Amino acid sequence: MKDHERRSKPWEGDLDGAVLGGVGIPMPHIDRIVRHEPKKPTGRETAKRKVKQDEPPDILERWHEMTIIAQDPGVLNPSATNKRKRILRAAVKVPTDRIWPGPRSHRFHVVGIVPDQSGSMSPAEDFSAEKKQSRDNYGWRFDDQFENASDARLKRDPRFYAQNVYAIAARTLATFESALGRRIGWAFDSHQLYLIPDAMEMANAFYTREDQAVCFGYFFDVEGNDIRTCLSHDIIAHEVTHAILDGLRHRFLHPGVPDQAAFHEAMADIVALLSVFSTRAVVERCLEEDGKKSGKFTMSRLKKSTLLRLAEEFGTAASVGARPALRSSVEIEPENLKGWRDKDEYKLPHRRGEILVAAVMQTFLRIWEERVNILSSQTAGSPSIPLVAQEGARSAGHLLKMVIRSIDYCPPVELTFEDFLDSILTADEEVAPDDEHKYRKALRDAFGEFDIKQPRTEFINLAHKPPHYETLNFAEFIRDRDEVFRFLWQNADILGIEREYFTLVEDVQPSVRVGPDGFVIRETVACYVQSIQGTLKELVAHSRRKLKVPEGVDLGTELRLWGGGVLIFDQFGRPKYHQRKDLWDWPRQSKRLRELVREGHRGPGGRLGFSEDRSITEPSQLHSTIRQREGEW
Amino acid sequence: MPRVEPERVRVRMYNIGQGDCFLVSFEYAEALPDGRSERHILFDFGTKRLAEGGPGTKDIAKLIKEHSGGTLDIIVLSHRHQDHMSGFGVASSKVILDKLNPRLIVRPWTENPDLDPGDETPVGDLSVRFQRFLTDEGTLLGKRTSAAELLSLAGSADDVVAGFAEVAYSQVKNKVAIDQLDKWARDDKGFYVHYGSDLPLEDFIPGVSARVLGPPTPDQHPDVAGQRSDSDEYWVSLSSVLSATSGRKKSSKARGARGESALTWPQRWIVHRLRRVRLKHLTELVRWLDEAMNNTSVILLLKVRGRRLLFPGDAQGENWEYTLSEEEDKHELSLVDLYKVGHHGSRNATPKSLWNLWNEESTRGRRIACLMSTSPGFYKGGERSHGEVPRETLVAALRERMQDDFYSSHELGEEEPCLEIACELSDPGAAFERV
Repeated sequence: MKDHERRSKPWEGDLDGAVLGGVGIPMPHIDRIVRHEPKKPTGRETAKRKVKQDEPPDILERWHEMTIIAQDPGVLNPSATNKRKRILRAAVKVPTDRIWPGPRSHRFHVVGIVPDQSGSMSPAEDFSAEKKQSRDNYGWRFDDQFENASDARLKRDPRFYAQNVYAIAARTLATFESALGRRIGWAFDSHQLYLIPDAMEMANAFYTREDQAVCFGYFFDVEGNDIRTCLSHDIIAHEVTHAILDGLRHRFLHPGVPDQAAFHEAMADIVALLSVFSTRAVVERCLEEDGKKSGKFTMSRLKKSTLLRLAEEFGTAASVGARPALRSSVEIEPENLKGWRDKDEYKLPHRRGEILVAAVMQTFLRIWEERVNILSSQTAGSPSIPLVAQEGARSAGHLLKMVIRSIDYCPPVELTFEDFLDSILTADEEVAPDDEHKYRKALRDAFGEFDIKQPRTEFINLAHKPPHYETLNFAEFIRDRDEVFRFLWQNADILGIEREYFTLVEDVQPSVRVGPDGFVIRETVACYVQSIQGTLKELVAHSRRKLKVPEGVDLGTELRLWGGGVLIFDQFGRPKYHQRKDLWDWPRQSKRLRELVREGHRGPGGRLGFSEDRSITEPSQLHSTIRQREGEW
Repeated sequence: MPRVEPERVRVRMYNIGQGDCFLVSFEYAEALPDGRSERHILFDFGTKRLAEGGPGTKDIAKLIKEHSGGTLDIIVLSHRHQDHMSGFGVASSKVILDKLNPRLIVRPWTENPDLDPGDETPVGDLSVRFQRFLTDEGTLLGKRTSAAELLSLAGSADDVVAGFAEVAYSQVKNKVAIDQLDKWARDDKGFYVHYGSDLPLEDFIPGVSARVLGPPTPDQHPDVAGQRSDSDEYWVSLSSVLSATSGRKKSSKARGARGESALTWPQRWIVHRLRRVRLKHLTELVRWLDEAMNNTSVILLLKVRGRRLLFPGDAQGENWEYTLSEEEDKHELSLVDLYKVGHHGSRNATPKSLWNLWNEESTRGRRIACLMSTSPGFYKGGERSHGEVPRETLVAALRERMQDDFYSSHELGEEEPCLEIACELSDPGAAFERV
């Protein structure tokens, strides 16, 4: 397919593999590599542009087209026509919104007006194409001012920083909403997430719930070049995924079992890595470049590809040069990780998360390899790079959708890697019972190599004990928390929920997807939590001494315990899936208590298991300095 | 020729408030070749806050002059922190000390201006890189913020601002003090040590030897530079410190810069929030740098006629770990007769593995004189962070173990500018007694 054809039909031919596609909103591909061919518009083009700007918004396109840096400024376009390589960039399609200065849409607010050292501000730029029109039509169209911009301008212009973070953030959110079939809210009390491209001079970027923002830092490498995290596709996608995930499961950021914090990091990495493959033309360019370096296309070669490395420029600038990417989980070999659960270094969220990323990315490679092998057998030789790229995009898109959909099936507290695997497999069975392309088998195999096995899933058997619906109103039941709690209260015995504990239904959400028969299915996802709190002495007694307290911990210390689950109701309101973490699972609670003590997660008054009063989403690399460690007083 | 050995060792802890200042004096039965019958080592001279009603730095300088008889043989600067060296930079006390003509200036390896990585030494690329971060002019907050500004901020009603200022204050480079020490160190009188350095103490103080137990260089023990300093993530974090404190100009031009009044309401909200986020983050980074600097502390074990005197500066866990992993060092440490409490009694400067050495069956009965220079209430800490200095649980344990041999500077009366203990070395069974 030629470039201009792809642009006019962004999702054509991909409904099955649907790179990031879903029901209702097909996901955009980055379908066009922007070649750096700076030229001044002709008089005719200027006139055409003016006419277009003056058009009323009643024939709105579904996408704004925006120029972004495809990976980061360190990844160059190996264009054969240009001897001098330039930053690999792409024109991407971003869901249409009314864009006000910033850019500011109904979900994002880019603020590039951070006070500099002299206390002055740089302005929020107006990206609207209708600058001279009345407010009625203002902001419906986007004016991409960087389509032909030079590399130097991209690296230096704060307005481009703003456009870049906005475009990638909006696409990432659209990816999730499309896979889950619904809008996703933030974890804080606002509709708009702040994006701060030049937040501070630091080698980091982070999401902070308390400030309703994702902050991107910048720093200088040893040669004095400025490295901006707001120009890295991977870092933007990673941090925005943290914000989205927090909106879906806000308790995942609370102190708990080590897998849970690691999952947050892993999910952010997985989305960042797999979403690159939606830029099929970019994938082609990278494959071409890799091909030049090492000849034949192989999986081992792909493992080392730029495509599968995270934050390459950032990692290179900040490291001694031994490892060019910040993280390259796909290269982790399972045989080197025997007994990783007991190793201290894998208690750190980033390190532990790498295992999950490795399992998913190695699954992806297996699927891609299988697809390419089929192509090879059909084409009697090495398949062309566009075909290989297409298969990569399909595989990545499908796997990413599986992974995102699984979040609805994850319990709201105490998530483990095993729960995650279980959720992916169960969610996928709902939409693709026959597993035609053996995705689930590949997942099971790859996770198994890292010693992550699917636990026994508990399905609700309605045959013997049908639930009571007598007092329920169906219309309310599929959207109202109180009504779902009524259902839980009436059917606690059938569902295996203990009424004795405080119970709160936190969330009731619709989930729309296409079933195996091609029809739209509407499910309802309801999350509930249970909790109790008391002194360790009281809780040990309550557990009949099954709760084990680590040596040296005062029995008068207060502890809060959590349990909870997720219930999936089918389109008729019948519970069909219940993933739960029983509050009275004392071995699990003992393990969590050990972790809380070991990590020094104490809230005000020395209490354990309560939220700490600092931001839990800010960078945590340095927090260990304020925790009590072994051997201290 | 019979070996010349001191008859008595005398240790004075000056009541300097939240800081350290110790004078160790060795007294000989007969005059040494230069006609003096004493030798003196000054361990640190600095404070963050003078003791209420106690002596000023000039008063302490005068006392040092008096107690040393006008000559200082050795000055040991444990590490480059305000509370260990400010006295060297105060004009009135500097003039007094200058006349004492110190003969040797001992400092940690990170202070060596001519650090050269070599194959034979434990100073490799990692160490040089670490030193550059710690001592590079550009990394220090002092370039951007003055001590006076930070002190005024420390009293702010805003917890975040005050917290930042308090931690950052200790990072402010006291250029005058460093210049003074550099001046004394000219003509090959500077000696820079790391774990295992061969400090020629006998040449200056007959009959006294020293074992340098810390700091290890990052090439000897990567953890001393922070967690996992052999990993890329570590250097990413350290780059943050460098960036955050360097005061380097932003490269992006402020296009059409304008004042805050031009902001929309939502913009104004996030700009205010962001200022706090930046300050909190900077506080974390500076705290980390502070701990890294503490871990450059010289740990010196003085040995004289079977007695062992342990001066660890502000060494924290990662610094201690290295020496405590060596059996021979552990044996030496188990037999100390005097312990200068690390880091003014903070929670992480007297590791329990060291503590346990003094509480084994064979060592439990030994008398150990314990000197703690501190000012309770300066660092209040919190219930979660256990950051109060001195740490209550440590003080309680020290009192129980050391009994009457535990001394804290804050318990000195207004009339007592220093506490003095001495040990008669000629009596093999004698311990340190208060004078």
